[in-house]
This record gives sequence, structure tokens and C-alpha cells, in this order.
Amino acid sequence: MSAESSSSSSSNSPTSVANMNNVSALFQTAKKYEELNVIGTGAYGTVYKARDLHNGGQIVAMKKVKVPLTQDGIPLSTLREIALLRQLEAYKHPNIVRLLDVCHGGQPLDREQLVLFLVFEHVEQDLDCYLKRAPGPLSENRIRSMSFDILSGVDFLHSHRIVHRDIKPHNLLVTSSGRVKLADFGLAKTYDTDMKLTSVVVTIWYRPPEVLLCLSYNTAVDVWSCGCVLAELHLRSPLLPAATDTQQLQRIFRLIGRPSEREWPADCSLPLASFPPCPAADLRALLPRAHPQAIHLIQNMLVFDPAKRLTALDCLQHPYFTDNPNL
Amino acid sequence: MELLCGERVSPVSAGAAAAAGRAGPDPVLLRRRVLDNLLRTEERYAVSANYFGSVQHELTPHMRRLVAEWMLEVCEDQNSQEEVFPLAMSYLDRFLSVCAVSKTQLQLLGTACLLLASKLREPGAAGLPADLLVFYTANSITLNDLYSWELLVLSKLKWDVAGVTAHDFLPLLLTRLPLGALVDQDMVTRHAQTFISLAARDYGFTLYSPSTLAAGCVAAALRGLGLDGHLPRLTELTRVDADCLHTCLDQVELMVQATIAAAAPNEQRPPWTPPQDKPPASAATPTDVRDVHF
Repeated sequence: MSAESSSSSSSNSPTSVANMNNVSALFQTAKKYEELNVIGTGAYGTVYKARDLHNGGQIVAMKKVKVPLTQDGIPLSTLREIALLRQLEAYKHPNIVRLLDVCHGGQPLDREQLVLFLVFEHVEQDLDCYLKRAPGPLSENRIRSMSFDILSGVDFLHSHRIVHRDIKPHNLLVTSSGRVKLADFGLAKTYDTDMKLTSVVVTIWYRPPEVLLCLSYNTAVDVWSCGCVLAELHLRSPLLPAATDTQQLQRIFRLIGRPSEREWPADCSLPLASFPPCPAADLRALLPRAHPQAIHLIQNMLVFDPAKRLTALDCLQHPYFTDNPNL
Repeated sequence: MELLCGERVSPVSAGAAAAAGRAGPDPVLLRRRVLDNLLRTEERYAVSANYFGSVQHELTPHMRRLVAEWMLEVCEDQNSQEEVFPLAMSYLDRFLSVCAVSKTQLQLLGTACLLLASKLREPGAAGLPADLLVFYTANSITLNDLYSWELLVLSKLKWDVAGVTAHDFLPLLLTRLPLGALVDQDMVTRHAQTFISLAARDYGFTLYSPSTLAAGCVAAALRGLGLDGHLPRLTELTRVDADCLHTCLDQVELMVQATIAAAAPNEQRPPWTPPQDKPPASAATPTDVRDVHF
């Protein structure tokens, strides 16, 4: 099967009057991509490896999204992902996955769904697979450069007022040369300081306490999630796996220590007493092979109070990176 | 339209806002480089030329105004996020500068732009419901029309719909003005927000960049509170030409005066007084632009 190109490069002359033929014309352009095989299936659809027939057979990743037209038109998550990637595309940031094209499948409009193809640069694997396949511990240099890549991508997003909100190994792609790129923006959206917020946005293992406690949150959520991922680069398994929100919080407090009464937010609906008191664990013992500066960095990312957590930019300027410029 | 109806009676007081899960000020998002990036990004979405008389042969600025007022009413009635309306208007202008539409299609286009803008900027996992939008047109469009035009707009705008609005600049500009503790920043913000919405209805503001419009509206809001003298700083922050910002400010003030005159012809109200309560929702009985004889 094949995707057909959209009329992104408009086939209509600028002065033609818009009508339904414009819409039909979106589905009538030439075949552009040849599908090779399925790479994976996610919440939003299937991802294929494909060949770009118009660009010298360049290998691309095509995310096929079935859009049900029975509800409110184009799904919001798809729309946000495409719009954000389009906006960021101009900057060609090395740690953000490139969106190369948006195509419509050859579906007539009266059908109940539309098929969209998002054409991304093809990246070999995600970090989750990469860590599972790694034959042994990653080298210190590899960990450092991957950590730097992840934080660079996140810092870039934050400087564009975008909070990713779903940083996890599954959403981080690893190129054949070991560079890391952020992907999967389905939950990311342009952030507004006065925005009414939704709950449940970060996959639970990487979820910061303020999200678990339903408090207000901001860019610091991504830094917490990155802290979990950075530790996972050392461990090659999740740092804080838990099954429920409450267990996740207990797990977090067993690592960073239960906050004091003074630190506990006044507007929190849960009383501090609902968690057993416990001291902070020694991160060095958990990550015995890690560089002391790496430990220091991760400790300052996994801070209970989001306002006291390092920012992504602070992280990039941490001695762990600045004392070791060979990234 | 009721004057200054951007003022909103919020169910949660400012004190309860944090507990209700609203985002607090995040210093990371107020940094200078965020402003610089936003200034660079807004250029991407600029409407660069007058489309009336070139691309559009049937439409007039007055028709744009009518559809804009209807769109603003829908947003107010639905208590939409502030940016939804100006973002939808920016889609509409970008669309109209590349594709001619007839006057019978204008409300359909406006509806599709509202649907898209609400998906991008409403909080949570839903924009304005499509069937509700169809209802607001008094069923003068169908759901299928709306779905088709959503795709048509996306295609014409090349899916490049993240957009930048003047609202996005307000916190970045206001934190950089030496206003002092005596100035009620929330009030300045609310007034500037109202002016931005009013300006988005008016074709005369289309060619201003969002940052220029934001600076002009902030200056107008401050002047209304008796605080002048911030133009040089606003000029420096937005890197806009000083004359251009002056012109924009004058235009905002004229627009506000005209809106006041139209809203309360027999009443002398000071320009910046917020209304005491929200006007009764009038958007449920919409002005059907198709029925208006231009």
C-alpha cells in the first residue's frame, strides 16, 4: 500500500475560489512513499519504515494515523504534534526528530475516517530498546553524551514555551551514531502561564510528585522525567517503577526522602501523614558505577519542590558536562 | 458587542487558583531568550499583504468584521482560553491571503478556524465540540462541511498552525517593565487582553505583528491607568520601529474610544472601567453572516 502526497504545495492557484473540489484535490496526488515494514504500533497508530520515492529512495519513518471523522474532526493530539513539529522544524534542532512531510491517505471524504501519514526522519530505535539490547553497562562517555542530548532537546523546547510532559525512554530515539532525539509530541502543547491544566500527562514511572499530588506544574516536570531517564542510562532499568500513584509517591519518597512539614505544599489535598516517614536513600549506592558529578546532577533534578529543581539550562551548565567537554 | 467583555468572572479566586491546578508563573518561560524565540517565530505566521482587492474579490473588510464579531461571541460564550479567538483570526487572515472565498463561505471558514484554534489552545484534551460550533451557526453549515473545511484550512496553511498571538507576549513584556508594586499587573493584563480581542476583529490591525499589537495594547492599558512613558522600553523589547508602535498605540486608543461610543452612546464612561458583570450570552442566537445583506 502507499501514501499519497497532500497538496501541501497547493495545487490550486491562489485566486481560485475555495470549494469542495479543493478538498477532493487533497487526495489526488501522486504516490510518493513506498512502505517497507512495520516498525511499531503506538497509542496513535502504526509506524512504518518507508522509502521516499521522490528523494532518492531516502529511508523515512511514516506514522500512520487513522483519523475518525465522526467526532470533532482531526484529533487534537495529532494536530498539536504536527503543528509544533512544523513550527520547530525551522530551527532544525539536532535533538528533535524532524517532521519531513504530512500526507493524506487516499480516503474519500464520505468515509468515516481519514488516514494521515506523518513522515519523519528514520531513526533506528528508541532508547527503551537501546537499553534492553545493550550487552552491558553503557560507557561513561556514552551516558554523558546521551544525557546532554536529552537535556539539550528539552531545553530547546522550554525556550520555545513547550513542555513535553511525556519524556520517557520510549519517546527518545537513538540514532546509529548514538545521538538522542526527542519524539512523540502528542501530549506536548504550547504552554501558557495562565492555563487551566489537565492531570495525568507523564507516564507514571517518570511522573514527578507535583503531578502525582495534582498540584500546579510547569517546565520542571520535564526535568524530573529527565532525571529518571538519566538514572536509567546508568541502571539500564527504570529507576522508580511502581504500579499506582500512591505507590509511585512512596517509591519516590524512599529515594529522595519524605518531605518535611515545611516542604509539604499547603494546597495539597493529601496530608503528609499519609506517607510513612523515611530518609533519603543513597543514590551513589543505587548507581555505583556513576560519575560523582552525574550523581550530583541527578540528585538536583529529582528534587521534591519543582521551584528548587534545576532547570534544563542549569543542567546543561552543570560541571558534569562543562568539566568534560568531549560530547 | 458589550464593551470590554474580555473581563471574565472567574469561578476561582486568584488564591484558589493554584489549588485548582492552574499553572503558576514559571521563570523558565519568562526568560529573555523565550521572548527572542517568540519574536523570531511570529514572523513565520505573518500576514504580509492586503488581500482585499487582490486575492478576495467578493469579500469586504466589513464582512470580515461581522464574522469576527460572531467568532468572538462564540469564544466568550464558551469561556474559551484568551488566545483562541486571535489565533482563529490569524488562520482566517492567512487563509484569505492565499485562497479566495465567497461571502457565503466566510462563516464556514471562520467556524473551521475556531475549531482548529480551540484544539491548539484550549486546555485539556478537547477543543470546542464540532457539533456545538455547527449549532452556533444556527445550523447554516453541516458537520461534514466543517470537517472538509478543517482539512482545507490545514492544507492551505500547510499544517503550520501552532501560531503566535499577541496574548503570548503579555507576560514576557509585562515582567520586563519597571512598573513597581503599586501597579495592578493583573488589571493591566486584563485590559491589554481585552484590547487584543477587540483589535483582532478589526482588519486595520492585521498587518501588525502580534508583538507590536501586544506592545501597543500594553501601552494603551498603562496609559489608561495614568502610566505613560513605557514606550521606549516596549520598543526596545519588541525591536519594533518606534513610529510603528506609536501608530499602533494611537489606533488601539481610537478603537477603544469608538467601541465605547458605540456601546454607550449616551453615557460618559471612563475608558478603562471593567464591566460589573458578564453580559447575557448572546452568541446562541448568532448573527448569520449569510443572512446579512452587505
